[in-house]
Amino acid sequence: MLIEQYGGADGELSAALRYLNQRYSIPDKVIGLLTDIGTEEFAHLEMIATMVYKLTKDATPEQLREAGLGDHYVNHGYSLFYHDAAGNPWTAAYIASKGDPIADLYEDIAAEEKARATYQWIIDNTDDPDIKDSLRFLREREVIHSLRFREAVEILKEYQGSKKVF
Amino acid sequence: MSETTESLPKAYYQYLQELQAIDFVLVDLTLYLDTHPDDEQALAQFKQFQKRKHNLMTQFESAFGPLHQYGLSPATGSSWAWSETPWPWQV
Amino acid sequence: MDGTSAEWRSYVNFRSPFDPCPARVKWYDVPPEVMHPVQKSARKQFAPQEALRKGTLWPEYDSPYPPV
Repeated sequence: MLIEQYGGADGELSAALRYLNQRYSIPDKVIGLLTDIGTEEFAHLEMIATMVYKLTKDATPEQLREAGLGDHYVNHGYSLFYHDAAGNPWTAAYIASKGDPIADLYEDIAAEEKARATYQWIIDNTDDPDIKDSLRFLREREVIHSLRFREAVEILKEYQGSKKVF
Repeated sequence: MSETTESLPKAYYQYLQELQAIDFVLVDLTLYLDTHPDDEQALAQFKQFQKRKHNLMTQFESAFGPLHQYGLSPATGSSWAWSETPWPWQV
Repeated sequence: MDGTSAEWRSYVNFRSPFDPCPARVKWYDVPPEVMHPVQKSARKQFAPQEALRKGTLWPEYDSPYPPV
């Protein structure tokens, strides 16, 4: 299940690559935000990887099979891989970059809300309290990211040269 | 490459825990400043935390080696410490 | 406005007499970034260790899950 947030459509890899790619064509005022959130997503990716690594590195193949990871083990052994919970490999089809700042930012807001919801469903399905804590942290980060992208839309609505007052 | 099978001293984890909290404040403040670049108070707080991080990093790194690569952290000692364990997902 | 946390909405959709399961109340989340899409001030903050636990510096955008 955690793998969904690693290599899935609404996962951290998608987020990082989406934002870091969009930042080349976005107006100057918003480049910093996209760079910073994109970079933070890579850190989250590593957090997911760490959780998966710690949960699986000492498991036996039988235990992996019982957990539904039998196919993954056949293809990858104990290594991680960028696929979703169903085994579909990551693809750039998961991200979009229209080159239109408003379209791109709304794609980003939607991505964050989807990630937030995904974390909610994973939390619902988990009973390990430590994993739950980490997932709650990651979910809260999506709330904040969504907030920043919404603010970025407001920034883009401003005319050139006017100092924005919230 | 050092094979660390003995467990790390408590101080290691204490440092990392404090560093983690300070780093996190810097992250959330960075995002806030990206969309509120004129907030002087937030900027002042950012500088303050930056100093705390720097002090803590200096202490941690002199005891336990570099945290950042590509020259962002000082290379101390007589051997290349960067590639030694533990790595973050092993800690 | 007390500036806190997510807001939850409940709903029950139309149920036909032929539906096999009893009607169930469902919930959805209208999280703080949707209710307050622009942060007004950086003054109120959690202390660093608590912020780390919660996932944000900002109490106004703290959204606990599952909801309290």
